[in-house]
Amino acid sequence: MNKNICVLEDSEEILELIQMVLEQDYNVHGFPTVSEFMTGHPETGPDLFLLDVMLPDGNGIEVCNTLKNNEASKHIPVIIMTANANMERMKGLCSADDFISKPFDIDDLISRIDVQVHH
Amino acid sequence: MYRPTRLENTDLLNILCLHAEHPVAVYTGEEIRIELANPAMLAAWGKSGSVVGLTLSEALPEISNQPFVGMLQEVWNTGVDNIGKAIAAELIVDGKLQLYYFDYSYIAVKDAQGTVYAIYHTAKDVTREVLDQKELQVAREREELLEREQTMNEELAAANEELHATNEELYITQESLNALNQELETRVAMRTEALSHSESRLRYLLSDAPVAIAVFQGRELIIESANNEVLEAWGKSEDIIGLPLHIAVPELIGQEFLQILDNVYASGEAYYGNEMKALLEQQGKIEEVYFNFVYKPLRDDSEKVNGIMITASIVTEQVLSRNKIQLLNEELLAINEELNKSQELLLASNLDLKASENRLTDILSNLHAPVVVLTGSEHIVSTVNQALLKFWNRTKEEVLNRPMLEVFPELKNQVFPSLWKEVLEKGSMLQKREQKVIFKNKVTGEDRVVYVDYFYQPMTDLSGSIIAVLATVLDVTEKVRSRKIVEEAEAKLRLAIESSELGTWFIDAESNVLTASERLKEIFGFYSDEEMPLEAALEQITPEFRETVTRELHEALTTGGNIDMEYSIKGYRDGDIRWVRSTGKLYHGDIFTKANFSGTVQDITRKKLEEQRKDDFLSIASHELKTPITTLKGSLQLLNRYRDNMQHPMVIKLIDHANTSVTKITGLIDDLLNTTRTKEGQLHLNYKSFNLYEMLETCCSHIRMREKYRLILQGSKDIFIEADEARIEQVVVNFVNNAVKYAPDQREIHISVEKTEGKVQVSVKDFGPGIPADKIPYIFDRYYRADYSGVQYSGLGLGLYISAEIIKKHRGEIGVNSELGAGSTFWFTLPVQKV
Repeated sequence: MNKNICVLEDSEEILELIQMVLEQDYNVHGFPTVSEFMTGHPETGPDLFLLDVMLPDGNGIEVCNTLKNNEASKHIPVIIMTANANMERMKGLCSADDFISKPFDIDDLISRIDVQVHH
Repeated sequence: MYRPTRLENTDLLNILCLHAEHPVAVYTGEEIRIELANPAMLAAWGKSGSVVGLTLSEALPEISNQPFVGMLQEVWNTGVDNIGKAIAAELIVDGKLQLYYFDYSYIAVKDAQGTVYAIYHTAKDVTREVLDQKELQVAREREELLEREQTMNEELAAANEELHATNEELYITQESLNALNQELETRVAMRTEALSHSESRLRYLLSDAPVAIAVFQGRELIIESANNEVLEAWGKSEDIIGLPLHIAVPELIGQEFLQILDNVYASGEAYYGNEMKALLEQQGKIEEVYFNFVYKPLRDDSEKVNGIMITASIVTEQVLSRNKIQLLNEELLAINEELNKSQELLLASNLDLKASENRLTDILSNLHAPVVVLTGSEHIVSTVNQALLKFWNRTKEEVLNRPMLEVFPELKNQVFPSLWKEVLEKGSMLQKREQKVIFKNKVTGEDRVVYVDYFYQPMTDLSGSIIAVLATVLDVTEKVRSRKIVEEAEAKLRLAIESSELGTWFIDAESNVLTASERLKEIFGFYSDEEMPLEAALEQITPEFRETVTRELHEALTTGGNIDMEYSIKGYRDGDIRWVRSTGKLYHGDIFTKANFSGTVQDITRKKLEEQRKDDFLSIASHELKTPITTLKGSLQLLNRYRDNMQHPMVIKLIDHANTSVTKITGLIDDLLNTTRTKEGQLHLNYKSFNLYEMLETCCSHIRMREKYRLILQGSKDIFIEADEARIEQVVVNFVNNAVKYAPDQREIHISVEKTEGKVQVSVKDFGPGIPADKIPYIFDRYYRADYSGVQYSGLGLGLYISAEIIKKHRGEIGVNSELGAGSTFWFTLPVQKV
């Protein structure tokens, strides 16, 4: 059975691309806003969270911290996607399992996701 | 012949005696029995005829103490007649004891054998004559004495006056007084001697004589007589007469007088005392009394000393006066001596001074400090040294012995002449720092402004009169100039600090006390006039910085490092968050200043916000750019996978994504380029005349195509303006895009155009949530976005900034009216014609 990946990304195009890339191996659940993500992602089941940082109603760093502070979800790997050049600063702000910078290479994205999911 | 009858002896005696005019008496026997007394004698005795037959002593008991019986008995026994004149006799006549004087003769009547058988006594009462004569004598003597006294008094008065007049005269007066005393003594002595020859005179003179006279009897000095003067001098009454001197005047015991008297008695030599001091009782008190006196021995007929007469005159006043004079003299002498000494010292000082004057001139001329001596009211340059001549730029010949104001007439209207005058007249010492002096160049006549520190002091001559001003004048022009330069620099710095609105601070390195400028207090949210201790200032630093700032400040204070920190503070009273940059440096103290740590604080809130916006902008720009690039990159990577199968249904979609992404990227790049151009002043406008209404009608096709929104255009359709049409359209599109972006739920967007007085105004009204009033001032700033936290509204936030720059370039105005909950109206105005 395919693993579940929840993606938080406000760019329709990027979300669509990610779905196109991952849909062979994963069930991809896309959310364009933080509010939709927080209410829509399944409590149990997701095998990975892929989060953008700058979102219309919030940011991925805060979402990551919420997930990691939650007993139910703290074990689920989180990958942060960011256009921010200052990756080191990002790493200091949250305890995500991995970071990937935009624009990303789709093969790099797939391999990072595979690493986290099959860890 | 008649032959007369011979008279009997008895008849004859009766005739002779009984009818005699003068008193006659006949006595017989050694007991002097009255045989006969004629009526005249009986009358003189104040007795009746019954006394005949009685002894004389029985008849006249009052004469028992008088010498007469004795005298008669002597005649009876010796047979020698006793004839005398004016003998005094006290007789009781008419019941009273009275004094009479008689010329008398006691004749011895002898028988044939020469034996006395009777004494024939005749007497003549000469009382009247004697008394008259005595009165005459006394009157004459009194007159003489008075005259002498008068003369003496006058002389004394004159002498006293002179005594008090001058010192030297006092000496002379004293001498003449001595002479007078001498004379007086001599006279008194002479007089005493003369008196001593005459018992009767003595008796008279004794009582009222103006000199003290007393007679002592025997070696035990029984006071036989003492006149008033003596009694007065002794402070005693007549009661003492008859007493030995040492009992009458006991206070003399222990004084030398008794001894002297005894010596006189023993030796028979007179003693002359001069101004001898006696301690005598005067009105109940023992007082010092001075006498000139003579102790003269009195001798009996056998030349044996049997008494002493003293004559004395009291010279207490003279002595006291003279003692006073003596004292005065002594004082005067002492003063004279001192004066002499002073004079000697003065003489020595004079010599010293003379030497000093020469030395002064020497010293002054060698002094490095410029010095001049200005003598007299003309302020004549009497001494001046090389240092001052150099400062004056004058030679010695040009100034020496000339009045200052003649040498430097330009000083006349300056403060100096009055200062010299004050020193001369009041002896003041005057000094002032950095007094401005204007000299005239002696050649060109140009003003030469210099600054001096002066010190004026009075110089006195030997008598202490101020004769000159000693002036020390230091040229401090360079110092003043340097300081003025520093002051100007400080003023400029202060101006710079003020205009830059820098707060300044100063911490005393020892006490850690903070001194803050008004501006600094304002920055920290304090009133400019209230205290702001260091602790209070540190308290205003926001918690995330407080510890760091405090630590760094402490380290810099102790180790001497510099500080340069940026941190945020919360205003003490307003509570506003402000960003500040604080720089400071530790200045090590020297002899002039204390070690201190000082620096500035700048309010960098605006800059910080700008930076923040810039950071945010970069973050947003990065996001905005990278999002389409990510899409583009991903699309191209996937297309690459389908390169051998271009018919795959995904291929078209991927190419669309790529195209959209490139369009977005292009738009973003255009914005950035426009911003850059605007910033660099390279925004070029292509002016042309166009119909504004028509432009508004056709713009924003991308919005019109979206069915969700309705653009409603109102206003005059025939407004032509001269402007860059493309740029103006860009502004309108930006307004409309913002309306769509920020009021996504509203359907209508109103565009209006109107023309007023050479201007047109275009407004775009939305019905969105409106803009908070505090944000309105910033919305046309570069990088400003209504929302920083996320990317709710896409775009770089450069739209309004670029719009504002375009309108300003057209000399128009741009603005927004907004009300929370009621939407916003963005507007701009443009001149109809190109300006």
